[in-house]
Amino acid sequence: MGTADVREAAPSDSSQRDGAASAGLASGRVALLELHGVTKTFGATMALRDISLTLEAGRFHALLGENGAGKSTLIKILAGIHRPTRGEMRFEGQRIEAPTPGLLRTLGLHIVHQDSSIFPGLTVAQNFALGQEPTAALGFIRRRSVREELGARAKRFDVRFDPDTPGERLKIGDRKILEILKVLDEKQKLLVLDEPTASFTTEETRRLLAILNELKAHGTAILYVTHRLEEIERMVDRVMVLRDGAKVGELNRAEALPERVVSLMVGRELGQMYPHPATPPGETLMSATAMRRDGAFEDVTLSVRRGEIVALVGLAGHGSFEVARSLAGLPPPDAGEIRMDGEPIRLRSLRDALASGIGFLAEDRADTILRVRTVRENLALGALEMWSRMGFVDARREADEADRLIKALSARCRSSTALAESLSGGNQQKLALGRWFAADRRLLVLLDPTAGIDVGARAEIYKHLRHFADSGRGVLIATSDLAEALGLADMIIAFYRGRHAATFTRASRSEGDVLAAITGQRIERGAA
Amino acid sequence: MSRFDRRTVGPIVLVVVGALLAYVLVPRFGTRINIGYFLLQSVPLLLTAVGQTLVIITAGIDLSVGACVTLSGVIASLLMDPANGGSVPLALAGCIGAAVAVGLVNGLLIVCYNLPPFLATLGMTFFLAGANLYLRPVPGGHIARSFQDAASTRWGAIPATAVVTLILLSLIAIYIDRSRFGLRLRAVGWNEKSARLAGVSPVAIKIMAYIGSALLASAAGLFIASRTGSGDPLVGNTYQLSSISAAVLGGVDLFGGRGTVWGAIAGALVLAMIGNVLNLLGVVAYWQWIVQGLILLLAVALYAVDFGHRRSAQPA
Repeated sequence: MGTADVREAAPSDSSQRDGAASAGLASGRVALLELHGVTKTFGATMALRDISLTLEAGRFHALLGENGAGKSTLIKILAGIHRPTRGEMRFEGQRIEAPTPGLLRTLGLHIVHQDSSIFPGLTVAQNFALGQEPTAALGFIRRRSVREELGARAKRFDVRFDPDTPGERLKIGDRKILEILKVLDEKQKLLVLDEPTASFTTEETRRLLAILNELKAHGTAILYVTHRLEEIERMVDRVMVLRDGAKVGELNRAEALPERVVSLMVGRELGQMYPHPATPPGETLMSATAMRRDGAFEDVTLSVRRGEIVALVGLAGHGSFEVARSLAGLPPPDAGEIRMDGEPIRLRSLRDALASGIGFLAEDRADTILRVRTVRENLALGALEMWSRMGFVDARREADEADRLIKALSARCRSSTALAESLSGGNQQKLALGRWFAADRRLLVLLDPTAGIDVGARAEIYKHLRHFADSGRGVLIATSDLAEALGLADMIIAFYRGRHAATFTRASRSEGDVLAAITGQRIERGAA
Repeated sequence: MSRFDRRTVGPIVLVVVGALLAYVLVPRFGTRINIGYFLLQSVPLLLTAVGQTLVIITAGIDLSVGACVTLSGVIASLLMDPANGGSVPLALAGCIGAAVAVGLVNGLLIVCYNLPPFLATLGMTFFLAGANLYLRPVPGGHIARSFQDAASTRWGAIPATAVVTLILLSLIAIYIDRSRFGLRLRAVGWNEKSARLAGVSPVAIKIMAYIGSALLASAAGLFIASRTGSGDPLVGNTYQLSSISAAVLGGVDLFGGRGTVWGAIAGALVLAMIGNVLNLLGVVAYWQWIVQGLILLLAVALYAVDFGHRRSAQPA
């Protein structure tokens, strides 16, 4: 991964955009799928901005971008799930007016979605056949031909599947490979894979790439969506980079140096996205000393000052999320002293954490938002006691406070009585935050507060978090998005193998240094 | 299906072990007369349990099974009455037509109006219970002699109806195991969204399952009518819940997706066997309920390990 200063490289790539469409055609290859000026808006949010791209037969295309850059919106347009607001899509020169999943499959465009579609309760052969079962009279499945077809495709790609193994016994990597075998057929022309290697082992990734290489050699176009360039560096033909819904660069393999791609991916004006603190931090709000939880982390000492946003970063399972959870009592640490405003607090459960003025949001919005309750009720959850008299919620107060919060958060919803599930992910997350803004919280502990949220809503959430801190309170986030930590946090605490690896202030950090810290290449001992 | 998991093997073990125990411990269980009687007694439960299973596999439930059993007996007792023409074929057609209508309405309510299956079929139960009492306020009516004779044919000690039922249900079991419909039924029950992504439309699949359940319930009702020689507005009530018990005993997962018709057949046989043995031992009725309840809970506990496993096995 790159260590380059991200702001430096971005403007130099404007020349790449213009050369993009013609580059492939010049080499005499067939343009298989073309997008011209595709724009997609959701309400006021522009998810994709004037995207033009060309995918060619027998080439390996990579689509890179950070979370929220617009990759999944683009996939959904290719899959016929979303219709573009403007722009057109051509397949082999034919304009496709109304793409439906069925039509695209007939044309030879197959998409392997990010979520596995393998049924744990069905066997390999049944999973393979489902949806396109070859049948004899009365709808009996011709099981032998299913097995033969499965065997033939598996052999072609040098993989092995026992047709009778239940899906639940397949490894994650094998499930993905089975999904790919399933969509491959004679008509196969374009295969789109959305983040296929999430939670893969290195060996699984290698096997998947071998299959893709074989497909490519036989003329199939591949569009590989990822945010990790390293794994496909050696086989990719063209790299397209999305950022904030726009295509910001298209590079040949030779040009696609990791530093350059990373700088394109994260090269936004960080200052606009991430507001800076209005005042220097005040006295210590929360401090944890010598905190330990068996099997998760040990010897952790950290503090959050008033007016400060602190980010905990680390690879999955290395302690950053575990520490944040423990500060909310989920589960509580086994040892260590935690103080709020200098007073030691008892922290044995989430209830204790809430009583000490801590507000907590889990990383999965399904765990925080009550989807089928109203916006108003979701906002009131944090402040029910404040808004109640004798155990009954004061309905007028609830309505007034909810309207005030909706306005303050600029949450887009029809009214405060709309169901939470009718809101976009970003707006749902604003509700979750608003719940704690309504209550009287001193410290927010948030896990991946902007995961899966589009860029516009993210910027607003950052603004609200900064505002919360500026009002003399504190925010502690655990995030798996390094760019977010680098842009938003006043203090970054890196974890490696359950221990504090390094601390970075705003003045002294680069992406490379933080990466080195979380991968164990740089350990420093020192207090936060 | 993985062939050796607990849910598939468990019910078969229950039947075999149960039958052996009953044979050894209960003197009159193994007599020809009792075996014939036991098989005959288990026919309606077998039919309703298999129908219920088709629905449960789609992650639904059919509470109207019992009312549908009653309905076909009531319709038969009316249409076979010489006062109303007394045509057996017409009566059979009426029962089949009514069952298709009931299953179709159940299915449409669930698929098109997105009603929870529990509520849609509960509403259907109340509707049918009222209709049954309206059509036949007290037991009675007429069941054609020829129809009664056909149902009571015996091959030696073995009742022909029981044999025909077991053959029919075995064919259904094979069909569900091996057909496109069966595969899609399980896929839809496991995860409707993933099934859609794989190109399977759940609409027809679910409606077919409810129609199948109503048709089998209707067959059970005709069987009961042929044995009693009359229509009874309350006769089907026990099958509403015993069909579910039998399916669960047979390893069918109430969350959908997992379960076989073979299991349901085994579950129904076990449940019927318990009733038969307790009858032979002269155990009073309320003890029979208590024993059935305990065995049901035991069976669920036996499969329960799978419940947790199943949820965690779902990939992220």
